[in-house]
Amino acid sequence: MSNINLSSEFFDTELLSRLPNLEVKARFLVAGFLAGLHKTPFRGSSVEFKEYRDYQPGDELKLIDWKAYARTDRLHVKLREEETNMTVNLLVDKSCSMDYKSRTASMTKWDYSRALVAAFLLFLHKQRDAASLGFVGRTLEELTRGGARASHYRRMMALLHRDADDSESHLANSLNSLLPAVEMRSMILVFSDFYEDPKALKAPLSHLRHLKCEVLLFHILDPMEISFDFDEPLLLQELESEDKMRLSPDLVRDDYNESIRRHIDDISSLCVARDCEYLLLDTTVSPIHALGKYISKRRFMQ
Amino acid sequence: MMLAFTGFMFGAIGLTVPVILHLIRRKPTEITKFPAFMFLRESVVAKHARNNFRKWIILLLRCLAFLLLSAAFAWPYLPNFAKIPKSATVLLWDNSFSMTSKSYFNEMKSSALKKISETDRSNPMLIGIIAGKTSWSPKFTGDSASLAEFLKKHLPGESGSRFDAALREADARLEEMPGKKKKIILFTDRQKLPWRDVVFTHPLSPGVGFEVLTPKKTGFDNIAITSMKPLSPFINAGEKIIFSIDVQNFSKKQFDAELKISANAKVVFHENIFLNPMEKKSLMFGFAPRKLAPFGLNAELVADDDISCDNFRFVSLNPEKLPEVAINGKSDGFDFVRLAYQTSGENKVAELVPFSEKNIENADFIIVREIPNTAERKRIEKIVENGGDALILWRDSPRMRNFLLHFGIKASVLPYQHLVRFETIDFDHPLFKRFRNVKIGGFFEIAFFSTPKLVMPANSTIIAEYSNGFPAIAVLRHKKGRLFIIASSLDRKSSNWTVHSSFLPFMRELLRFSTAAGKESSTFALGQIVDTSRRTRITDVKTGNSFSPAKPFSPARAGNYMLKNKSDRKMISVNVPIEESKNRLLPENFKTSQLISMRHSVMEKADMDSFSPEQGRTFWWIILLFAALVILSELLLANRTAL
Repeated sequence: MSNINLSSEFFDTELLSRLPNLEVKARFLVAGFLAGLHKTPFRGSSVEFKEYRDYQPGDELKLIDWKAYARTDRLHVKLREEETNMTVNLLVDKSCSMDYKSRTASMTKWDYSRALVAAFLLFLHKQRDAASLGFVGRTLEELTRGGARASHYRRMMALLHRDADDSESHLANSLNSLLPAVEMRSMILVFSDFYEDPKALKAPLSHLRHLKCEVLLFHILDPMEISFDFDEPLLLQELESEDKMRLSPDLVRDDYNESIRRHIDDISSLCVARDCEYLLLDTTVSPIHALGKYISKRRFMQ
Repeated sequence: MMLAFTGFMFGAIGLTVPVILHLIRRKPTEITKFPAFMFLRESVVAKHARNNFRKWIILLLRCLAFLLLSAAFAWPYLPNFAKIPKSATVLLWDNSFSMTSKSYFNEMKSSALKKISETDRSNPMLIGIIAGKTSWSPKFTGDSASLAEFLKKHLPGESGSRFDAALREADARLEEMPGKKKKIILFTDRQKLPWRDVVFTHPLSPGVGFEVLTPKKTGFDNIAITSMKPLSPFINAGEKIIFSIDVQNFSKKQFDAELKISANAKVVFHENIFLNPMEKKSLMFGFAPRKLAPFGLNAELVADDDISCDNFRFVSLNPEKLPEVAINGKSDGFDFVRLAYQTSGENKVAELVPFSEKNIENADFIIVREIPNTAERKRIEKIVENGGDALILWRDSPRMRNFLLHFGIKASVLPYQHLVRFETIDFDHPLFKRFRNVKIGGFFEIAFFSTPKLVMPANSTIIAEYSNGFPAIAVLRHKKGRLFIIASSLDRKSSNWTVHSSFLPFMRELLRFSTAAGKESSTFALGQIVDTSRRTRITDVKTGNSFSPAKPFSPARAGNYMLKNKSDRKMISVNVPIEESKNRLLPENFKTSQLISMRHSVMEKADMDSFSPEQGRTFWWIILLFAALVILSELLLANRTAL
């Protein structure tokens, strides 16, 4: 992975969609993310020595063991065992609405979310952060116990190999279900299209913040959902309820755009009000910077 | 409001129906999956009623756009009744040269100009100048100055006139006009001739009035040169050509006149003539052209008569070659057939050549008196098949019978030979037509002693028959040519015709009739079309003006004209039609009221043929503007949506 240089290919969602499996996608995203950083994202907070490794450009100079350099004439960096008890909870919306891909997008919202979640899991695993994974349906499903071991990581990756099949999802219920299990000062990452009344999210977000949890909401939408850029008259069918509707896009486009913009504003405002992080992700745009959002929040928590 | 092209409207409405059906029934059938229904529901449900209404508005706008475009193509217009003239008049002027009579020309012209001066915008007028063909002023107008100018430009005329075509065209032109009172005024001099082809049983259109204005004093005192022609062809330079000139007094008044004949502006002959009332005189004069080149003569009769343009006569002479006549056989005694064409060395009308293949080939006319050899016979047949003419004089022999049988003519000798004469002669046949007015001995006195029995084929014409009922003179059309057969050898043993006064004219007429077919005429009457090629230049001999003729070329004035081509020069003479010189008036009880229709006038609406945008105010641009506005509204409202 170290051979991968920063280039535009990491931002190519078309290329991401063509990668064969989730693990490769995750490594692709993480490699792309790391290649874009100018310094090591984390430093060990503990004083316990773990191991040496060769100096790499971007490593801080203060981490170089000058004594070892004097002995061996080679630059080595001291790695220390990091101490943390923070668990990152990743909640992924698995409703049918996530299984949507328009003609302009290269992957469904569900695939996009899974790739992003897998990247997070890999990244967290590399950083030895404890992570847990749960799916948002009518209620919170298959929530794993938090852990940083490799077996734990593999199990969560295996769980991601599934379809978005729930006819509907209730994020508020799922967050409420999470409350008893969530640890204080943990992080909650939610990946959803948020087709839910933002008011319903007020209470669970308040409770999570009360537990001093950091909440990051990743709002994943297809470009067609944002612009409603249809031309011809349509016979639309809803993915979850399979309701049908005949309409002329030109006649409803303005109203639709207004509604979705208001909805996005509402969620965003709610996040600001509850001191949560919010990021709107378009499935045609690479999710790498979602990782960045996480890093900045993680640093803040340190 | 009326429509100029109603067909477009109905066609467009017919087209609109399937388009409307298509627009109404156009609904999507393919299912598109979409997750964000929660935002659409509120929008669509809220707008449902409004959009439904909007859809119908859009449909209505589209239909309206169709209709407006169709209406624009249908060209609706509003007849501008405010501008409908009170009356419309067609002034017809008889421009025949009899109208130039000194006794009434000025009176008629003043009267016509007075009528013209009465025109204004509400009483427009159209002028038709009736000559060989009618010249029309550009359109109905109330501009009396331009009308007067048009009339003056065409006066006086030199040609003849016919009223029927002019009246019918004036009637058709009036029919196009929306005026309430329509009238044709004809200025003429009561001469009978122009009315000769008017069909009185066919009245003018309903509502069209007809008025004939004539001078107070009708009739005229006129003398004219009625004919001037050469009696011999122009073959050699310096050889005197005899011309015959006919002058006639058409009035009941005596006239002293001077006849002057000029060539190249020099008087070559003059004579004082006294003409009694209605007297006709024929004169002859000789003139020897110095060069063998086309030239023209003009005769002028200086007299104080009412009409001057028929006091001039023009004649043209173009060098000619004597026709070649191939003739075989000999006659018993005097060869009168040969003498008919060559009375003397100087006065011959044809070059007689003996039979030979070459001479037969070049000959203009062939006279067969003895059966030729096979080669000559075949050559004669070929020439006749290709359009040549030949005369066969019957002389009994088996070879002659075989020769005639070859053309389908069965000939045999009658058992009893009696004296026979002409029983019937077809004087309407062109060969005999000119003999009707000639007072030379009667054809029916001629005796024939030995005649055959000829049975002519169906495609032949019997021109004369003997008293025994058998053909005497016949013509057989053989492919492109003609074969004349005279059932007599025309020698003194078989007939006394050769010494009869009619023989020489007949033989010459036969030659003229046979050889004149391919000749181009060089004498024309005013109004006749002169055939000219593309590169012909014409020079008016009198004025010296040269011009390239229009096609078809019809000279406007009488005179001699030189036609020049790259390789050819020819003089033609154009004369006034002499029938106009006669003073023959309409009867006193002549009325034109039968030309006026008794039916009531009906103002018919304009149809495609007669529609003129000038007749009314059109709404084309207004409708197009509305159509554009409707289409724009539809685009704004529908925004590409079709449901």
